[in-house]
Amino acid sequence: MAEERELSENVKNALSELGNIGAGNAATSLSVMLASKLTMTPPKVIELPFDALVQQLGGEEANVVAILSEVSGGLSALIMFVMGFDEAKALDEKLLGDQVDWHSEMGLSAVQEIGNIIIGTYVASLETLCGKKLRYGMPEITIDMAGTILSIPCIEFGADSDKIVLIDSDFQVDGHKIDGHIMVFSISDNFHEMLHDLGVE
Amino acid sequence: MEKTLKVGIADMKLCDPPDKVTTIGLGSCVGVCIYDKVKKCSGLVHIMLPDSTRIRQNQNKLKFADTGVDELVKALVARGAYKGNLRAKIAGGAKIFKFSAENLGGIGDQNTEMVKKKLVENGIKIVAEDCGGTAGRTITFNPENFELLVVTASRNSYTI
Repeated sequence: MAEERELSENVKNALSELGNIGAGNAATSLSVMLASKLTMTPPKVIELPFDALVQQLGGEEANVVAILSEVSGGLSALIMFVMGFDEAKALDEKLLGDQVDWHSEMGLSAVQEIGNIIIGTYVASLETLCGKKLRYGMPEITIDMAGTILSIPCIEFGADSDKIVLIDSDFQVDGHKIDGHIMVFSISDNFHEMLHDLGVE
Repeated sequence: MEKTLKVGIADMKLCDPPDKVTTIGLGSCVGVCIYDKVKKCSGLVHIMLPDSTRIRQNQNKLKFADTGVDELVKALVARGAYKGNLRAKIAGGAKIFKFSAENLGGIGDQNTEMVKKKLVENGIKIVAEDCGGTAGRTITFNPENFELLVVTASRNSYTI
């Protein structure tokens, strides 16, 4: 049985730094692709029970667009790029112009591609930082209720824990705060192991 | 004043008329409503995973289909429900992502199967179900008329 422990300040800082670098690099590659300035807020690192996790995106019933991939290898985690409809539309317009309906097959495929780049860059940064080989699955896109999307990490890690660690970075486009997140979920055991390898613990 | 009680993930609530009971954003989770058709007391449990016996971290009985259904039945009987009058309506068990890897792909179906198995074991008839598919669901049960309102992510709504 995994023992219950709070994340120490040290661990929080280390995870926050990982998130900073991962999300920062992702923002940089996306800025190049979209010819816009994408910036990230310093990530929020929290450990919370399922019930609180499913409410992290505000309204549980609000529909969101999510691109998700499973990370395995040196770290067992889920990484997700999630945004509201307005954000998906705005990103699409930057990439394809305003002639394409974001909700069409082509529009969604462009949003997914943005997600692929974000997830790929983020994972590559984690890999460099940890010096561990990580694998990630082909990202998948879906549109569903925020509560449904956030139940996925609960199910993925529910077998091993009642709590999930979340590293959540908000991003802004051209200085405007928008409702977009890069979220990395895992359980503290997985992160502890990784941080141990990094020499933080 | 009637209320709508909210059930979280891996959570359970009992509910009597005129109150209703709801749970939001069922993906591959399953919402199980069990009610006494005579006394009209009811309960809703929101389970996440199929089988507690395959898992080491299994203290939270409401997380699993096998133990969650038993807990709800026990709670209803303790509240005065007659086991022979219990009926069930269930919804959820969708496949939100197509993941072929890991256990996520088939978890919705496994949840649904285990819920059905446990209901049969408890001698509870399933009156209606809305399971599977690829979209999340929000459900609200009304113990007054036993109607289960299902609203999907695409905002389709229907009563079963």
